[in-house]
Amino acid sequence: MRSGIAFAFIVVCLIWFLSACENTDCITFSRNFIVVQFLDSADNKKDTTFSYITASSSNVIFYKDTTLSTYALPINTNRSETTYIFVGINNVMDTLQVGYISGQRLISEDCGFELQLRQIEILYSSFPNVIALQNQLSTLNEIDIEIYP
Amino acid sequence: MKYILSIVPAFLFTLSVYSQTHKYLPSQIRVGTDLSYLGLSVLSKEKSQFEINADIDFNRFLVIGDYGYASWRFADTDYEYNNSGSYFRIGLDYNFVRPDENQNAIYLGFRYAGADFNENFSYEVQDPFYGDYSNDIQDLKRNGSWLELAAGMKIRVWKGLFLGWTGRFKFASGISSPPSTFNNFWIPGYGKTSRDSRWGLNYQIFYRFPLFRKNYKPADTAKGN
Repeated sequence: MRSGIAFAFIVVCLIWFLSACENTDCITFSRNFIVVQFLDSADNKKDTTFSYITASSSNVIFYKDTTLSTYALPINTNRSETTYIFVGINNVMDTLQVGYISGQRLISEDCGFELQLRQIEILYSSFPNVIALQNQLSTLNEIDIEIYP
Repeated sequence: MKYILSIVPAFLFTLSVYSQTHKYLPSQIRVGTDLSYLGLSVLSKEKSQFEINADIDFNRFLVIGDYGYASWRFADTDYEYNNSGSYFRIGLDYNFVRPDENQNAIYLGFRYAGADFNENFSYEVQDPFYGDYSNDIQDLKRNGSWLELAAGMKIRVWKGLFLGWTGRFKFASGISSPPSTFNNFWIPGYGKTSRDSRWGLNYQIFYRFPLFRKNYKPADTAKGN
């Protein structure tokens, strides 16, 4: 009986140790901006110049007089879609409407919460060819949407 | 009525005689609670939990039933989380200690557990591009279920009083919920759902209520059942 109790005590200590091993690290992979990349017909990165880029539900201009191949565009997490407006150097305007589900995840009582954007889809685009590469916005992915202007 | 009045004593007498000879009649029901949860509820402002544990013996088998209630509320500057609900466990343990007058138990068993709970989550977002906003997700009624492997002991310390512990490995959790953008965070009785499995430990106190009296022969104790 004594050996049984000693065994039980060791088991309790082991379980206690294992249960105490939980670390609440604040690692998150979600992000609240979408990364679009412009490509030419040969799938090479294509620098594209815009007078400005904004969104229909925002008063902020995200980029102004910029030439890049890759743009990071903030997402409106309070809505299920964001419509981006790309104005070129000749005042040619293109729009890109992206749909998604904005979810909330509580990481822990110490780390707070994060917003998760998933089920990314192209609702409308005036660009000739647009491809959504990712289902969920994550820092693990570099590019979310490819645009062939 | 007369018939019932006459048959009940006969039935009880038969059971009493039967229990002397048949090892699978229960000798007691043990009812208890978790001491650590009581301490937690007193000391913590955010968390409270209460649990009733019971078991009934069928020779070396113990049929287990637990019922509990838990709530957890915490907040920060930009969010508030609230969860409360009840849970239960039912299961079967095998007692490695030979049945005797003490009814001590060192056991291994399994449980099926379920929870019925309500989650609330409200938060604020500061957005420099689209404007600040807040959202309030209220009365999210959810159900959870999981399985447990359990091991532990219950030792008689004084008359009908027992002290013990139960270690649990909880796994195979599932959630049923109305559609929501808020991911489930915590299930009462299970814990955080960020992992597929959880460890748990209960420190328990029990009191036993005798059911059918059994004669444990010294020879049986020496030889075992």
